[in-house]
Formats: sequence, C-alpha cells, structure tokens
Amino acid sequence: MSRQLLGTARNPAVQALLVLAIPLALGLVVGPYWVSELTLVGMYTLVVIGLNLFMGYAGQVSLGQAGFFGIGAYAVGIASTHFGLAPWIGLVLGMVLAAAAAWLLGVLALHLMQHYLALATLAFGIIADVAFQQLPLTGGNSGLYGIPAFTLNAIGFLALTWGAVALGSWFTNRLVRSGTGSLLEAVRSSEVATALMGADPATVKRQAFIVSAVLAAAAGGIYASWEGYIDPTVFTFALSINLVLMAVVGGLRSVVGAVLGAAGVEAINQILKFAGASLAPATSGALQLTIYGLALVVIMIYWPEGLVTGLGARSRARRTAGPQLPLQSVDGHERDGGQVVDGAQRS
Amino acid sequence: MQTEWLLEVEGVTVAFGGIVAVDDVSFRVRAGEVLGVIGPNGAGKTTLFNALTALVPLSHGDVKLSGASVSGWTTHRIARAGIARTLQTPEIFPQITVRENMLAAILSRQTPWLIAVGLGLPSARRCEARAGEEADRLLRDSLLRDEGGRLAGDLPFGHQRLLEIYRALALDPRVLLLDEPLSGLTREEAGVVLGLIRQIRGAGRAVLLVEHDLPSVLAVADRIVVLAEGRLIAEGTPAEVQRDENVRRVYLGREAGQERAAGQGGMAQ
Repeated sequence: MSRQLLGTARNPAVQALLVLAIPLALGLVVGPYWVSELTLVGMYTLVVIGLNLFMGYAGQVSLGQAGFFGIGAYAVGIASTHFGLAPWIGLVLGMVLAAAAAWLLGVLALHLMQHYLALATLAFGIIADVAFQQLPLTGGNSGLYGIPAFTLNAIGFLALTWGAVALGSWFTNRLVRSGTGSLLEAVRSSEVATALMGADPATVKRQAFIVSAVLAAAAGGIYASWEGYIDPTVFTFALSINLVLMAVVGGLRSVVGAVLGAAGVEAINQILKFAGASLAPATSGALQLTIYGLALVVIMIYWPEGLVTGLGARSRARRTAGPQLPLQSVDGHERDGGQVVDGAQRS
Repeated sequence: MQTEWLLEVEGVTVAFGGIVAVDDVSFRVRAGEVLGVIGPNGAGKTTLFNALTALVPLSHGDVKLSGASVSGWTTHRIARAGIARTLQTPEIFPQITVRENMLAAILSRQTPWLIAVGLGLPSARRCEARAGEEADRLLRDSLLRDEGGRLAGDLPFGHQRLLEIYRALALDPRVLLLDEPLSGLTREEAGVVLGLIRQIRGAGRAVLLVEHDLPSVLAVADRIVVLAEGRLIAEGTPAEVQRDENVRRVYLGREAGQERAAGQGGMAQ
C-alpha cells in the first residue's frame, strides 16, 4: 500500500466509511452463514475498539469487558421481555447502565496500579456473570427468550452492527488524534509526569474506561436483539479473555487492527470449536481457553503492542532508541564525588 | 513593606519507616528568585522535591504557596496551583511529537471530556483550538521552534531536557522545581539551560534548582540552601555559603576543587 493511500485511509471519516462499506459489500455477495459470521465479528470489533482505547492508548488492561457486553445484552433482553419496551430503548439504557457501572468501578479501582486494576476488572466480570446467573430478572441460568429484533433482516443487522463500528471508529480516531489524544498517550507513557503537568491520570483513565464500557454495552445490546436469546454462558471470563486477545492480536492502537484481530480470533474460534468437538468433545472449551492463554502470553512477551502495531512499532522503536548520553556526563563524575564525601564523613 | 514569600517550606519531614530522608527542613523563596538546593548525594534533595509535589507524603511540616497551605493536596492539584517540576531523568513522551508533548501539557490543566472531544462538541473544539494556538506560541518562543513535528523520542538528550522544562512552563507555574537540569548536557547545552533559568526568573517566577554542577549553581542562584543527611545545614548567598564552615566541612571541602574540575571536564566532553 502506498504512503499516500495510507494517508487518506487514516482520515477518521474515510476509515469509518470503509469500515461500514467493506463488510456490507462482502455481506451482499456471500451466503447467510458468512453474513452471520460477519455480523458477529462486527460486534466483537465494536468491543475491541473500546478496549483498544483503554488498553492501547490509556495503557490499562480490562479483563471484565464481557460484563459490560452482558449489561448491554440483558438491558435489551429485560427491557423488551419484562417491560415490553422497544429494543432501542433497552440499548440506550444498557449503555447508560454500563457507563454508570464503569464510573463506579473506576472510582473504586482506577487509582490502583496496573496489575491490581486488571484484577479489579476481572472481579467485576465475574460478579456480573454471577449476577446474570442469579437474578430473577435475568432469567437465571435459562436466560431470556424471545427478545425482539430491531425489525431488521440479516443484512439489516449487518449494516446496523458495522454502522455502530463505523461510529465507534470515527469517535476513537478523532479522539486519539486530537490534543487530548496526546494527553492519553501521556498517561500511558508516564502517570507521574502527567500528574506533574496538572492532569489527574485517574480521571483520564476513568473516562477511557467508560467509553470502552459503553461501546461494549452497545455491542451486547445489538447481540441480544440479533440472537433473540441470551443466557449467562455467553458473558463469561472466557469471552473477556477472547476480547483482550482480539485487541492484542490486532494491535492495540489501530482500528484496522481491531477489525483484523476480531476476525482472526473469531476464525480461530470456529476452527477450534470444530477441531475440539471432533477431537475431544468433553474438553473443547478447556482446549480453547488453554490455546488462548498461551497465545496471549506469547504475544504479550514478544509483541506487547499487538501483532499489527507491533510490526510498525519495531521500526519506530529503532528511531526512538534511548537518549544518547555523553560518555562522561556531569552526573557520572558527580557520583564519584559523592562517594568521596561519604568516605570523608565516616572518617 | 510586606515581603512576598511565594513558597514557604516549614519543618518539612519525610520519613520512610525508620529512615528520615528529609528532616525538619524550613526555607522560603521570593518571586523572581533562583534558590539553589545543593548537598552531597543522599542529602534528600530529590526527596524534598518529591515532598513538595506530593509524590511522597509529608510526615510533618507544611508547604505554603503564596501563603496558602498545599500540604495534603494531590500531585496534579499542586501542579495546577502553580508548582511545576522536571525530573532527574527527563520523562518526555517519546512516541508523540514535540508539539503534541506541549499540547498534552497545556490540556492537562483543563483535562477536557474525552466524550466531548471524540464527538467534536463545540466546547471541546474551542478548547482544542486554544491549546493548539498556545502550543504554537510557546514553541515559537522556544529553542525547539524547528522541532515541533519531530518525535520527542528522536530528540537529542539535551533537547529532551529542554522540552521537559518547556512542558513545565506550559503550566504557567509560579514556582518551578528543576531537578538536575544540567546533568548529561554538554557545556553548550548547559549554558542554554542556565540562560533559560535566568529568563524564567526574570518573568517573576521562583526557581528551585537542584544541581550537582556547583559552578553553575553559584553562577545562577540568588541564594543557596545546603542539605546534608536530610538536614538543612546552611542557607545564604552563594558567597556566604562558600564561606560557611559547616558547608566546607561536609560538602565543599576537599571535593569542591575536584567537582569543579570534574564538572567542567565533563561538560567539555
């Protein structure tokens, strides 16, 4: 791809249009199975775009995105089956609810250091899943049936999903390329330096977290209406890991990466499901989780910025190689001086 | 006539467990003054700066900015109140450009809502546009005027130090704490930074300067405080401090000559 073409493709509006047009065009020529796969990939991509913002730009890790996805799905399910509200209303309610949950979790946990924060989001995901299983409103383990669709056919859902992805990509691209995007990068790079400039890193992270939660809930809401049936087995820790893997595989700082990551992992998903079912039916879920865990570890060690951005970052890393200190710095001499002082004081 | 103390440090003590890193240190700084903070390694200079910016909590004591206590405040709140700081190892943001580094600093003060920025709401657009103009203006008046578009990580080390100082100035601080701003610089670059420090003082700000290169501190500081083992052992003009018996014994004595020679030797490299 030429540089010029890349330049145009980096325009947020152009990228958003492409994100909508390409899957839609594909959907019109392929069969119904692929339309449904494309729709599912779109939903994942929407979550991954949010994760991208939180992980790739704000530099944090969330292991609880399935919880927000579930909040969105159950909001649509409950609003429509229990209260007879239109799924649109449930969708909006779910996004608001997810934002509130993310805000609360953020207030409680976002001043934690990175690893503890990841654990807090993990705990949230598990608590959310237990709530989906236990609450009478969510239909317990049997879930909710007969969730009405947005009066859309398969292609309509495909368009709705990727339309949402396009909006999400437009939003995050504009954000990360703004001056405020530089502030996100500042938080990722050094929270101490950011605080010394007068910004509260926790506030910035909390906002990125809320955006990621809202996008996940939107995807979950569309999912519930599209599937027509939800139960707690969908919104588990395995899904959260799956989503993190998609974000990491694709690359943490690119919308294209989000699409490729979601599609790639979903393809592996299908292969593993098929392979697992024929090789070891009883343990196919465990097999999947094991392989994902391994993949995640390997990628985080060798390509911490993700596969797609990792390749680009390698050349950049060469250019941004550490500052070159003069061989004999003032500092170096000074250290010797300091030791002399210590010796003098002791004697 | 009323004396305007910009920064008052009163009995500041920082203890980590049983180790007292800063022990009952008190001094005051006026607007338009450069205060050198010197002392042998481990004297508690950086810890003092960490305490003034709430990166470590005060065990005792009080810090006042223009007469109002800021002790117990968070780091970012202190920064917004007007105490800016650079770090011993410059923490620039290497993966974004010099101009974006400045933008991040300027926008830190207001921290716009991410949602408003992403949606392009008018308030966010105005805020971003103002920040952009300010970044351009600050860069135009700086020594990095031709490097706005470069990745900060690509800058030579001396320019990274400069960038960090300019980023701190973007806060429009009343007090600027510089932690070894000359370390690792060539003699020429050090001269540039010293000139910048004089310029900052000229604008009515107070500068606290921790620096190992004594000749430079003696040249630029109006007054000097000397720390040793966490305690303030002397305070006065450069001439007074150089004459002080305590200081000669624990700090300047035999090593002064060495340091001067070493410092200049190092800067000449």
